Amino acid sequence: MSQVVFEAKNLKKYFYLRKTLKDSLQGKPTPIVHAVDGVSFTVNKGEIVGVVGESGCGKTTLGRVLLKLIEPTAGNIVFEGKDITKLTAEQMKLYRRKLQLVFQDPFESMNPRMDIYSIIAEPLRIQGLDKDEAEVEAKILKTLDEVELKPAEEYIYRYPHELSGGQRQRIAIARALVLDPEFIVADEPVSMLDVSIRGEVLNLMLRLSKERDVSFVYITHDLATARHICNRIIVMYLGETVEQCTADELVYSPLHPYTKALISAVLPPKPQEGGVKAILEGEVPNAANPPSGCRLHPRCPIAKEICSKQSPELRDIGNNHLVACHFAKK
Amino acid sequence: MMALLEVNNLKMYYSVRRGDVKAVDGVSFEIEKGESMGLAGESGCGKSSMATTLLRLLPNNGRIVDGSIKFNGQEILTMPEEQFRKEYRWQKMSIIFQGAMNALNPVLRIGDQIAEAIITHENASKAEAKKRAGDLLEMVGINSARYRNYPHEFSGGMKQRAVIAMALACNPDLIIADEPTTALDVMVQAQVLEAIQDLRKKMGLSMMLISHDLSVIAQTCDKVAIMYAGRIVEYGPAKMVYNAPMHPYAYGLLSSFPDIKAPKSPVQSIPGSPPNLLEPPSGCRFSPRCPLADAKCRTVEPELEHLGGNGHLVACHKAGQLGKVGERA
Repeated sequence: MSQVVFEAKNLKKYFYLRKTLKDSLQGKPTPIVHAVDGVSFTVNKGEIVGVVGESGCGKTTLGRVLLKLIEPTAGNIVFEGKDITKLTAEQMKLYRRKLQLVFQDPFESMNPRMDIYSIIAEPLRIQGLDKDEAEVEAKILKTLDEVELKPAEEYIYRYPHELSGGQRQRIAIARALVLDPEFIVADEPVSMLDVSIRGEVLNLMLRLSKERDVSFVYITHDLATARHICNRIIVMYLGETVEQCTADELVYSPLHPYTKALISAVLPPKPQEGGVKAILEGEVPNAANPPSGCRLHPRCPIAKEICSKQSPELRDIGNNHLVACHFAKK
Repeated sequence: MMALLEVNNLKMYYSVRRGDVKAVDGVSFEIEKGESMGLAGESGCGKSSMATTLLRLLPNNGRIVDGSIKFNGQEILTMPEEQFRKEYRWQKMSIIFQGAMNALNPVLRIGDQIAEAIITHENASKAEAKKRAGDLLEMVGINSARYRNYPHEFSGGMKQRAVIAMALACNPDLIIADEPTTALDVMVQAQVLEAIQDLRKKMGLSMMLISHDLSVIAQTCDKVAIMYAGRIVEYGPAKMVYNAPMHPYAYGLLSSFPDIKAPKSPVQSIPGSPPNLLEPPSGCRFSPRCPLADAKCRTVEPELEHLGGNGHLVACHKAGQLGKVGERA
């Protein structure tokens, strides 16, 4: 049995919006955006877990809450058996070595005035691990090597603008790796990259998970790439988990109507008869005012009366395949 | 038969301080009436420059160096700007710009923005233009009751539909769509592509669809041209190019798109990055990244030639040897 490294228990993050003057005078309640609304999952050692959903489903907020970059409204975060939800920033500092983040945009997430050496050394400096200069340099060279920027000596004193998008994203991964983390959240790490180089970055993540037992949460809108690098996938809709199971089960036997629609919306890479057919109508509703009952019901092709009244529970229908739909059957 | 749009050896360079950026460098293709062609390639390969060149909307530092563009047999590259503006731009060929949905005027009603396009290009009365704008909205699947809405009241997918309606305002023969669904979520992308398909069928429109996403082109186009560093490297009927690509770049790009239904496997990639178009590599421009390249590839630039039969053109010295790339991948 593989070992659980990270666990999210019923995580919630609500954002409280400001009331307009009119709403306050009418005594309306403060509008709340339920960005993440009760998400639970575990990540095993060396596993890649995908979080997939459309924009506005709360996946980026979830990623930030997982690392306590923003505090959860409710729920618990457990890392290596210890509940870190309530730790202060000071207490978190030690854990930050083990928990890292790779951002979406490799052009914005790096200081253009810092060379590669300083960019990768910065986490070491912040953690007070930069006392021995020779050691720091050796460590950086080793990390560059690990993200396949070879020969490392050639890259170490360059600046971000001299590198391509794919190379920069590998620097971003190197910066996360230099502290030997156990757990990395990668938020859309390839969505800004050209198609022909996406594979390099994804396969790097895959290799790190296998060879160094680093666990990843891969946040993406792209189900096709998630399917090929993730062990398990969580599908989110409006802040809630709608389906959670292994990648294979998700693409070959999806049970939730939303997952089915999401899969059918992924265009096949080769021409096919029939062209494009959209299954779901409309777009994701406003998260400040989600539909009652099952949040998908206004768009769902199989919705019945119960769906608008009662919110379906996320239940295990066997083999750790979790679905939140009243009509899901194995 | 004469093609609707015929582009021949088109060259468009941008002058910058350090020389010429050869964004479009000897491109030829044809689009028949009612046909849709996809132009695919990575960022910086010149595909958007191609679109602005066709409509003669170049920035000040862009200039057409060579080549010809014929629309229904009429040369439109040398035509006086006044004539081109009056007779061709928007009336005969229009464009959906990349990110146009974010360029809608936030303080004008959606319907009026569409009517404005009609009034600018045709001698239509205000009332007539308004009525047509309402019909156009219905045509792209938006209730005409929303004529009086402002852009912020529209969702992303609806804004994109409104922009498509605007491009259709003057009943063009050819529509150029530059990354029409890139900013949209997958689900909405499917809806918008479905709408474009229906419109094409109904109106017999020809289309040039520019996208980095080969799967979008696969599902919407009859023909595809794959561009790399300012040149077309492979060109032909979509089914042939997708099922039997002959250029190593086309092959690599196609295999970089994972098939969601396929068994789990690593995602493919092409090592290296596209060249700087100020000084493109000598010989074949893909040779520095190509696993098959030899001395000839690095010195002699391959021409686009009929190698696959049935209008399947490839520019590669090694076009017959793709099996070897497959082995490496």
